Amino acid sequence: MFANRYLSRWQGAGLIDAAGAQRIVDWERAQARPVWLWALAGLGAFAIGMGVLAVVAANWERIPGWLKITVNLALNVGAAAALFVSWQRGWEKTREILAIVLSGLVLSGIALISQVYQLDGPAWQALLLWMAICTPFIALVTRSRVLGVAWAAAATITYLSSIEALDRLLGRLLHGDAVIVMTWVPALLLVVVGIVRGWFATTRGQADAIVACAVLALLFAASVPQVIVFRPREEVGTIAAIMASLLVMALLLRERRRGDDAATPLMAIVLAGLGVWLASMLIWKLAGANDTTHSTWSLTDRLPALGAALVFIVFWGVVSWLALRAGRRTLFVLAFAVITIRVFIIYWEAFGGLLNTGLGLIGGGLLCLAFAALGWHIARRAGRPVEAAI
Amino acid sequence: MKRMMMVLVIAALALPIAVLAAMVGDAEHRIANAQVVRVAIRGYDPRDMLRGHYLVYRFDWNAEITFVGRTERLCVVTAPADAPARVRPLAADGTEASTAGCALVLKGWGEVLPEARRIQLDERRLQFTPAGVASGRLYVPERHARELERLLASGKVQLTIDLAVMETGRASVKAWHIDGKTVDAYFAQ
Repeated sequence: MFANRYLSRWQGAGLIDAAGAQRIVDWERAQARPVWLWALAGLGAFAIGMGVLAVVAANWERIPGWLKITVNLALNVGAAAALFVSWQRGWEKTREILAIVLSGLVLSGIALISQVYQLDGPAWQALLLWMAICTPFIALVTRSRVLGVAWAAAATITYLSSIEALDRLLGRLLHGDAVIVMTWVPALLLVVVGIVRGWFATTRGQADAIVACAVLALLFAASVPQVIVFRPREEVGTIAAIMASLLVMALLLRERRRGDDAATPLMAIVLAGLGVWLASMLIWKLAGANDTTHSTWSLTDRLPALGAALVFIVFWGVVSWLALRAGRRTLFVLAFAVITIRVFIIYWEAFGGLLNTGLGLIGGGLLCLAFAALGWHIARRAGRPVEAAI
Repeated sequence: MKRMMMVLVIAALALPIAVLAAMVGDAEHRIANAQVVRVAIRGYDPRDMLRGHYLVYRFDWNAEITFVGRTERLCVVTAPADAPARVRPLAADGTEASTAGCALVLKGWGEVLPEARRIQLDERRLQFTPAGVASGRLYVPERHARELERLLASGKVQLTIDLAVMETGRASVKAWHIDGKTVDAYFAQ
């Protein structure tokens, strides 16, 4: 039984006595399920499913288009009806699974109709349509964290698939590149979605999951200035991003006043992230860049690139400090690792030739070990329990 | 409140099905009410015409050339049911823009190449993509893919696409043919 190893460790550490360990073992035995039989049944169901798929796939072209579409629509209706019944009767797990099944069937329906009628258009339009027609029932019916994460992931994929078209559109409207609008503002929107979702008591868990995804999006968006040189010709996009950030800060301030503890660290991340963007753009402006966007990884530009790297390190330092205060050890470790990697890259770029020598490698290795030891020491001194990831 | 919530949930669950049904209805309506224009097509890359389940193609317009330059509209002069349509590009700058004598007008984007550039690129003089048919890919039944690729490479067959053209000038692919027959009919002969 999996718990035996842990029971021995906990007993050895004096956390539980022998009687407590025996009670845990007895309880686990009483809760045991015939796992192998379930696995066998699952394997059988999976084989049936694969067999049905194989038969359909082998005869796909022989099946008339109208029949394929009729079957797909019937499956959609069936899944929607089952989902409604599950929602009405409060069958939580069934409801969440059916919501995922229905979302998948809707997407397959869009793809099937496009194939049968040879409809044309970029993938992002199909994904956007899919999100638009599935989001209402997901918002009204589902509650789970899993659906929250799945929705946020789907929204992100849809957004990323449309980024080229959006870039062209914003480029025409703003007379230049709109990198800050396209990366920072959508992450803020995801924060807003998470906050609004949290206003309803029944969906707080799901809201937390969406906010967690939004935090990841913010961290990623704030790291974008690290890999591009971006100095817009027009400041309209920058002003829009600042306004959006201020609105989100106002919303978070309201949440803080209502007693939401997570609002303060979120405000700090939004403020720090915006600061990264503005500081990086100022650095590139002082360096003489003008409406150029290109990737840069090296210190060939020397001082400006080093300045941008330091801004990045400061931002992730703020993130690691916030993570420590909130007891989020995983996030702290992630932030510390990001800082370590960035410092190591600076070392690599500054002393690149040395890495061809043994001394250079030893130096780089010692640097990584030193950071790992420092991170471990800080995490242990903080002494907080390990929290869920993010 | 509970009743209103139920109504909202029912509406939300009905929405995807209604939209899917509307997509089918819209596609059928467009095909039923559109004028059909047959256009010859050819493979994009002779070395790799089929990519996965798709034939990558380019339009091979039967065109009357009267200018060189950009075009955003094609005047369809004649559109016989069983032969490629005859078209005339209309200049984007308005100099050659008369639609007199046009059976219908097809919207899109393209260019009439000068002869020297045409030879250099080994292309047709008229390069035009109708609006609504941008992908340049056709779904090909897998069981015919290999044989079709061989036929295309040999140059022994003519592929045509029937475009369903709406009143707005946008087009969609209605059907495609090999030597005038549907794909299944051709390979069944």
